[in-house]
Amino acid sequence: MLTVNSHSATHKKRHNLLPDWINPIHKLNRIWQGGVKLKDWKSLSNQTDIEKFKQPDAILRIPLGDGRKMASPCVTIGQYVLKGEVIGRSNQTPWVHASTSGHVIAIEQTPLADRPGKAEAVVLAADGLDLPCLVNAGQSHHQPPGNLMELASLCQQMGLTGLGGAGFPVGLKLAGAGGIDTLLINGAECEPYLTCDDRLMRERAEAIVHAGWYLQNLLQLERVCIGIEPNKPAAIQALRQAIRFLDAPLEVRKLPHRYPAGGQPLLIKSLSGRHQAPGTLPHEIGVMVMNVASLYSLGQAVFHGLPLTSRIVTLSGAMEHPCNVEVPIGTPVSDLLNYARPRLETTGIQVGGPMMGRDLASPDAVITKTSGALIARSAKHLPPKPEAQDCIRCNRCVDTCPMSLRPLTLNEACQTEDRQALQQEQLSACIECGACSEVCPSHIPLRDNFRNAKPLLAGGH
Amino acid sequence: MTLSPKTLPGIMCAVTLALLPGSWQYAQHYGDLVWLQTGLCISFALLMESLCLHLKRRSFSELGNLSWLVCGLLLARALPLLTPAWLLALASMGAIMIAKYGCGGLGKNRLNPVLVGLGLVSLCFYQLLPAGIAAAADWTRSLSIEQALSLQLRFSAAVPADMASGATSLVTDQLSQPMAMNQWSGYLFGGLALALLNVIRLEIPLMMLTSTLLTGIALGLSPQESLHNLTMGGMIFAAFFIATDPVTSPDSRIGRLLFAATAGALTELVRMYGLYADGLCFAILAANLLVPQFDQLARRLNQPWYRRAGNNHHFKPRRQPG
Ligand code: SF4
Ligand code: SF4
Repeated sequence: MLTVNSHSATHKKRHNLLPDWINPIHKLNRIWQGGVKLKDWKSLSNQTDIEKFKQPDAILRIPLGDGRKMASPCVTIGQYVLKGEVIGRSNQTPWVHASTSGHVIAIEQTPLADRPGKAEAVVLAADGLDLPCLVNAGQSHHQPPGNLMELASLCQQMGLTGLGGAGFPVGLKLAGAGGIDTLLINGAECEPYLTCDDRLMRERAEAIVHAGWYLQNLLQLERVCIGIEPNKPAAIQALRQAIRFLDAPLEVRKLPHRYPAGGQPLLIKSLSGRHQAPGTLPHEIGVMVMNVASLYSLGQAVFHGLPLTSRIVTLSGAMEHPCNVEVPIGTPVSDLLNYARPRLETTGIQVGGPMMGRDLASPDAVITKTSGALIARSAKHLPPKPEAQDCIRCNRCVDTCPMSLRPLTLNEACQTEDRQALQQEQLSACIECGACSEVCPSHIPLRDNFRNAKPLLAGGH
Repeated sequence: MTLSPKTLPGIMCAVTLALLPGSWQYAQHYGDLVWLQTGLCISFALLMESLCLHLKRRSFSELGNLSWLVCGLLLARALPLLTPAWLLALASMGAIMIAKYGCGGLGKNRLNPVLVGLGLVSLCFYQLLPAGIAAAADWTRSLSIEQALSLQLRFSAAVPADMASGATSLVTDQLSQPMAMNQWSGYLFGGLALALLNVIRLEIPLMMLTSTLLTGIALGLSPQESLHNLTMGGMIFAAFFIATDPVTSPDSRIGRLLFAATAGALTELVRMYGLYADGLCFAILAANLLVPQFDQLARRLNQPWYRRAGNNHHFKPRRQPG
């Protein structure tokens, strides 16, 4: 196995020579420019262990996809299914599994927590026994797959998708990753409030390291590196301990403590020094990026034959009982809210992180594989933004944009819907991190405008 | 944590506060009429802003962004002392009505409003402007507010010609002697504070001063004279407070450097060869006009990081295993 680390020279540790508040000078010493420091609110929910969410008489609505590409249901109404049994199959998208045991009572459209619109879902009346199905997908997995293609198809059959937010199928990602030499594991969790990855890394470090090591051997990688923001010292320590204990050739690195440290191009840049150009995929520069939670679920699938039927959700903000819970996919959001009890002053619910997430559209929505958090808004937590004023061209958005864009001119182009200007201002490079909207003193919803303008780029030829 | 004020009124308040030390020094030197002029200018600016909002049928709550306060304050510092009140009003009109709202409102103007107001008055009514008041003019300090007001309410400035010399106004200064430390250190202090708060970009004043210095030397001044040049007129004030106006300066660091270098060099050229005694106003206005060009040039010179190769060559694609 290759162990030569040809990158060590590029990873000289960067010391911060000057205190942060000397802003103009301090910036010269950074791996990537821009970004914002946000108050992280992590201690609200990262103090306690991950709890198991149990609700014996739940009605789960398990979506058969993310609303764009769907699996087709392979169960009939009235059928009894076990936890982990396949209920939706497809050739391209990840398969879907029952999150608990019970009877299928309907197949209907359901709203999703973290995406607009509705998707077809299998409605399951749980029997409360949570009986597991031991043999999945018609085959047993005592042996972990020995080559990439087997692994990729296993990941598809086990329903693995990226748990970080974008929800890219893990199988597809692996299938394209044949020639890479570096695996970067994203444990940044740079958004405020979110602590699900933090808790996962603290509590299940060994399983994560084990899975990373397995991938390293399978893909013959030179380097596997876990990147974590420095505001999670416990997670960093847990992973380092696990690596030492297992004697695994992985490394743990601290990322810059600025939002969006976990944005894919920036993570790649700070951990490997490589530059991912917009519109290209990471494996074109020899890198694969995987979220810690996705890697953990890959380990579960490979070593224990367990399909992805639950995810860890952070419940935070103005709640009586902020915590992290492991929730079966398809649980209605309202059940979770009953569990965490939003306070009286709560004005709304944010799904996902405060920066990249969105407002909860309907209380009937269900938790999907990509809904990472429910945050109760109040005057203190995620207060509503004041009305937008005129741009004063203060240039803060330009300084903040980690992708070196010029959000102020980009925004002008969005307003005039001028496709040529949008192209010239490189709208396609925007990672929709929302850092620019955060710093804008005129509270212009820059990121939302860019998000809305992206279809404009795709349109036409 | 950044100390920077995060809201629009916050930024404007910061600029106002940063202007106070300089204004205070100025008032120490010339007496209460400095505050009188400040008050007049701010009231005119408020008036003009309200008028424009009314004409454009926008809500008066927009006065809450305080941009008129900064505009008035800057105008008061940029125009010579004892300028007739009607000229102050005209300058405010030029600044707010023509430069700012004529271009569509806050943030849309290409020319610095303060300088447009100043330039308008000084181009049209140069004869009526008082020449700068002599630095050693004790008599201004003994003026009571009423006397000063009565002087300002005349049609044309009434300052005895032999009392004229360099104050901070940007057009009419006579650049005979460098000013004492205590006339510009307040502005320097306020400007540096603003740079720390991330309200202005330090590269603009630094580059502008450097470029003036170097142009001076290139034109045959001795380094000392050239250094003195920097303290003359409103150089420090203009470099830190006028040229740094983010609305009318470029969006990128390289663009800002080009912009400041141009403004600095032009200032020195006007000072040496121009018709007006001090060219700061026209130099910065000219550089304002070139901002889109600087921006374009900067974009060509400075590709974003992901267009460069980085460490990508460390990866040599190999055949897929398995
Ligand atoms: S941060 Fe907001 S006000 Fe400032 S330049 Fe950008 S868009 Fe304009
Ligand atoms: S949302 Fe887009 S434009 Fe705004 S800071 Fe992020 S990458 Fe830059």
